[in-house]
Amino acid sequence: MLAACVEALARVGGFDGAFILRADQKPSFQWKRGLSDPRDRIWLDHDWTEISGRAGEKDLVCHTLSDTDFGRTQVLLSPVDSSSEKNWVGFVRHGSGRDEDCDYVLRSASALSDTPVRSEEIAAARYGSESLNAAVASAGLALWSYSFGTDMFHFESFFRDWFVGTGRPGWVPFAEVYDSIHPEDKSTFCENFEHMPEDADAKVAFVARVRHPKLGMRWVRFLGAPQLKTSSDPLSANRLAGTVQDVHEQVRLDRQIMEAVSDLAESKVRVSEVAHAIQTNLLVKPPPKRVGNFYIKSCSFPSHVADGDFLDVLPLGDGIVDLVVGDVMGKGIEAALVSAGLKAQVARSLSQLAVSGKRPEPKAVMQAVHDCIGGQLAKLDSFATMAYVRLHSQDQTLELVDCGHTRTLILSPESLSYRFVSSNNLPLGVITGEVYNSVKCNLAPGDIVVMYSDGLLDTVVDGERLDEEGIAKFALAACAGPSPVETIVAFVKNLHETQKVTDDLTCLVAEFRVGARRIVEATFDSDLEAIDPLRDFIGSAVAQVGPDVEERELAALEMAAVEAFTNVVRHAHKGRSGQTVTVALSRELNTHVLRLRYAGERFEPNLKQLPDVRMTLKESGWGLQLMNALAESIEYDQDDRGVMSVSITRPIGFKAK
Amino acid sequence: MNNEPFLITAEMNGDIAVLQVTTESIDLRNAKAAQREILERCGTAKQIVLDLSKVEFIDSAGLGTLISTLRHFLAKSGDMRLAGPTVRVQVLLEVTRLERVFSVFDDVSSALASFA
Repeated sequence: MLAACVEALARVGGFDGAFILRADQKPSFQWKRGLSDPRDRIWLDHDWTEISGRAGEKDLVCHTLSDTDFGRTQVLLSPVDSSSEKNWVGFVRHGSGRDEDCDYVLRSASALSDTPVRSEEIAAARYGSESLNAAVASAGLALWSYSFGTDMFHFESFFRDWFVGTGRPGWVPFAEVYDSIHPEDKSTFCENFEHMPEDADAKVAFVARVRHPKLGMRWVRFLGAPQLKTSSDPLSANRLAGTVQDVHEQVRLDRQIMEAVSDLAESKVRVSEVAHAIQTNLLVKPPPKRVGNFYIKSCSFPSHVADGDFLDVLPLGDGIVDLVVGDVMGKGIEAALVSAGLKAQVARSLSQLAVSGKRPEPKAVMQAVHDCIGGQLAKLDSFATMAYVRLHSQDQTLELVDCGHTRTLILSPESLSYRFVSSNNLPLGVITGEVYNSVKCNLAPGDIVVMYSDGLLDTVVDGERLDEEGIAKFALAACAGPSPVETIVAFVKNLHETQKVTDDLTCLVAEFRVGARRIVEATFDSDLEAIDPLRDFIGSAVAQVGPDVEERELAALEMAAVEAFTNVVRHAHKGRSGQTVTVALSRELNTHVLRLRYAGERFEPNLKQLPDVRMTLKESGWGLQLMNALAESIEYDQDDRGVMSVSITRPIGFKAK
Repeated sequence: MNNEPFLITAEMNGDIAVLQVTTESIDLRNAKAAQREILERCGTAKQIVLDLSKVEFIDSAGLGTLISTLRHFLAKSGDMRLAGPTVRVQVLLEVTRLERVFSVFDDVSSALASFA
């Protein structure tokens, strides 16, 4: 405790800038300078004047300080009497402002008793009490502050030991801290101390490597906030203050965690890719394009890498084919797994029921699927919608079991009309005892059956949601072209590629191509010399299988036939003599089918991944390009006797892809 | 395989070589001979008009010959025009979308005029 007496001393006259006060525990006073009177005057507050015994004496000191600048912060006064050093007082000059009423520039000031000790006490009070520091240190943290006025840091606890500092414990110049920062982190460090944030809610948060005197570079995390200078607190200043933590180990662990998370994410991607590959390649054998009188094409695009939509085409012989489109609730791998199981169950139920030798009815198949897997779906909190369609070439009928799926669309290009069919059953897995029924309707030659998942209905095209009617109208418009099935599937594919689609898109289209089908065929030696006879045959066969076609159509068929034929000669027979190729041309309604049958090595090029020879103007590689551009579809097959075949389907007027 | 003859007539119209293909078909049987013959008949000419008015059929190998010939002349800072393609040749160029790559004219005189 300092002495109670207060003595203010001033060296009036010849004042050299030193200003000496002796103060008690509550030393404060006002210091004013009149604008018209450049002399500074000091007023002690009431307590002080009482203590000093100078009550009523307001003008304690009058002296000329007009040109004296004590600096903006603390002014430490030199002790006059070394024997009572601790009682000499410094004072801190803070705040200024013009008081218009009294024509004074006001400055509040606080005298600091026992300057060296007191300043430490004040610093401790400002930056944290001893107990606070201990608590903070126990958490592995140290308090820090940075003053923009002095460009100095003040560190507490363990962080003091990292720097030499100014000699005053904890006080470290900015430059010294900057020097200890890792070169790669210096810019980050500077950004945070470039200027005082104007926003009181601003935060300081960054990690930098700081050189430890013994351990080398360590990762350190700075957290803090601004402390704005206030007029009420003469000791306040524009500072940043907060905590600092040696997080070297934490950063190492964080990095390990991040690497583990990254590995996990990569693993998930790999799992998704495998699921996608299984779903698209292993579980989905490319469906046959022709079954009986039905020309079939499909597409399925998951919204994720793998998803719950699925489709299947199940030829049953005798021109009968079952078509399946299903949609399992949910998305991602879980839905994909359920959909794979459900799809397998459909095929399994169909084959099990067919063991009796009698072709099972569609509703019996669906009932078996539901009875077998419905309960399991419920346990998984899942369900599935499905449309199961049987197309019958000879009966010219369609039979549908609709398990809560989107309605099946039937287009009739002949009458430019369409209709929807549905059997109004609940989805699989909703009610255990559901009994599934079917509906049956007739098909006319040229009718097109369109099955699709509800993802198509959620798609927005030109700002409007694509509803059932919209799909039907578009599909019907596609019927005006030469290749409606291709056009409809291409439409769905285009939606997938160009629109923001959030659900799976699946579409299965079947065209009923039946008419007075006529086939003309001839057998040729597998020799290039047969090119001219082959062209002659095509010209003749086209005239035999149907009404006249334009010369351009004939030219296209000739080119397709010659390219397919020369491929067989060169690749399947490799120029060997004694081989033959049987070429058949048939026509159904407005579609020609060219079929080449031959024995020999299997030759099945990947027509989906042809190099773009047009862009590079290559001299070779045009054969497959030409065939691909001329045909709506090209199918390679091999029968039980090993006879190979290539079937080229081309609707009249088909435009090159 | 490549023994089929490739018949062609050639005449010079100024610096431009005018070649008329008289073989009905350019296909795998004669494609290589066709290219060799065309280049020989052109001599040193850098500009060529290929008259296809008598060609009824060209397959992918024949198409390769036309592309190869075009590239040959383009490499010599020359050019090639196709004249009088029949319907089948037109369909070939359309289907392969090469009608924009080749300069195609209805007849030889139009093709010659285009070099002016």
